[in-house]
Amino acid sequence: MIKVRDCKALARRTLLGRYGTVIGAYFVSSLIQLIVWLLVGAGVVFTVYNAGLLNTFLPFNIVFSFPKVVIGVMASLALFIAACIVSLWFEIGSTKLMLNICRGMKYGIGDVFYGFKSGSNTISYVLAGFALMLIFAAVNTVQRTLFFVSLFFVGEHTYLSILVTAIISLLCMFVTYYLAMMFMFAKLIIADKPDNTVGSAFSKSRELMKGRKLKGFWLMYLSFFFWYLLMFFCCVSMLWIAPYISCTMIIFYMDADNTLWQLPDSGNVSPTGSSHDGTVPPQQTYSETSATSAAANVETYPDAGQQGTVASDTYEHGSDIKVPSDGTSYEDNSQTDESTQSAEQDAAHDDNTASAGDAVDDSQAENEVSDEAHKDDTFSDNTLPEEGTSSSDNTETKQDSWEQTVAEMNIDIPAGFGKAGE
Amino acid sequence: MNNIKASSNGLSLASLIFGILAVLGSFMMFTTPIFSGLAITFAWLSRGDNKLSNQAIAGNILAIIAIVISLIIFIMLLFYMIVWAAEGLDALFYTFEQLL
Repeated sequence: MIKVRDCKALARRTLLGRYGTVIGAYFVSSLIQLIVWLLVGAGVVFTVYNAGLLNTFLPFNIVFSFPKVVIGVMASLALFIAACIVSLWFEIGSTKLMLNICRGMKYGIGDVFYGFKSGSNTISYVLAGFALMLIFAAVNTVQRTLFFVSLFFVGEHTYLSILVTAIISLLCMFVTYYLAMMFMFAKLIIADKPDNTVGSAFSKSRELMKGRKLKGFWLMYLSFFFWYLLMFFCCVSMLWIAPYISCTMIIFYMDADNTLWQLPDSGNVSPTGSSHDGTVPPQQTYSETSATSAAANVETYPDAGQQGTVASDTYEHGSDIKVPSDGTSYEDNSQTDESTQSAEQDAAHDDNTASAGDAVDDSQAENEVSDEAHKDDTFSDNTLPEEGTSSSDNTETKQDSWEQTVAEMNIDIPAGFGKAGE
Repeated sequence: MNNIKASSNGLSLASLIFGILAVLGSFMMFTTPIFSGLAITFAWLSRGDNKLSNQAIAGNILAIIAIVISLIIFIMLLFYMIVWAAEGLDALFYTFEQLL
């Protein structure tokens, strides 16, 4: 299981270089939602005005008009429900945008309008949102009922009543947070996998959150306390902090879903060559940083022989990989700056020949899959790095991040698997 | 990777600039939360999964200095207002005494 600290670090790293799109998307969606909620406010003001409740603030008197008040109430209610639905539409859009970023897929500001394009998926999302609201409202109602029932038995304004009220509040708070944690991923699952129904999303969320509720609570509520405080004092910073929190939650979900390897900048190669449900994911192998990897062409992880590290490390993006027929090692035939790679290759050269035959076959199979995935897709931002600048940095950072993310998955890798050879 | 580094550097620089603005504007207390908040946000988000850069550290420190200056000014103003109000009350009571 991923650590909270690592989860947040991965989120920060994932968002670096992508803040422009994310903030633009959040700004657009917030602006539209603000307009919709202002309409709701206008409906409420219309009702209050025609009810004559503003007479004390006005230089003239408004006579109470029953038909207008009824129209105002109905319109306000209709607008309120519409605003809730629109908010959920934009919420699914924002979630989809963050999912696309975290999965290394093509993304853009237009993703926030995803809710308007996908019909049934959006309806499921809205239903899930309302279901969650109903659950929390039910817990709240139970709390109030218990409070009033307790008044009959222990009276009012006594020490016992205070104690009972405190116990009831704490109990209901615990239940609320327990349920919130249990169904934390429900909406995320619907946005991520459109074929899920509301019920299946809730049950999957329950399964995924088994043994993670406390960590989820710590991650989402306590570890961001400082950031919430910052947002309270400086509302503008919300534009940066909200995507950060959202991205952290999605990385936590990806860790639970065993798809953390899809994160951009982490190598983007599945350690098993398949996703959690055994199928090869279509968006398996590229991202913006994979594009930079394409320039470097080969990624080398010197510690590949150790347990828990990534062995299928040497792969190429969009180019043919050459594997020697004897299967003992394979050669770096890329255009990578050899000076940056040579030190690691020398270090790996001594013990890279043993037990590499199967490994190379596996890595070749993986490369074929990844090459096929490359053919169908396009890069969202295919800016390549400057020559000779990123290969060593890439290697070090990716090694760390890969070890960090994959070590959590407890994957058994054969010793000496995939080491770069001569 | 270059993109990430550029973004990190950009955020660090933004943090430093907002830190300087926060210190300069710390005497007008209402600008401090905005500039300091942005400076701290940019500083911490710029680090990615690495350590804070020097610019980000400087931005953070400047933001904290600005908050401290603003708090000191706020407390002094509050103290002055209380004293002024107390003196005003004394004067009011004195006037009442004279009248009675």
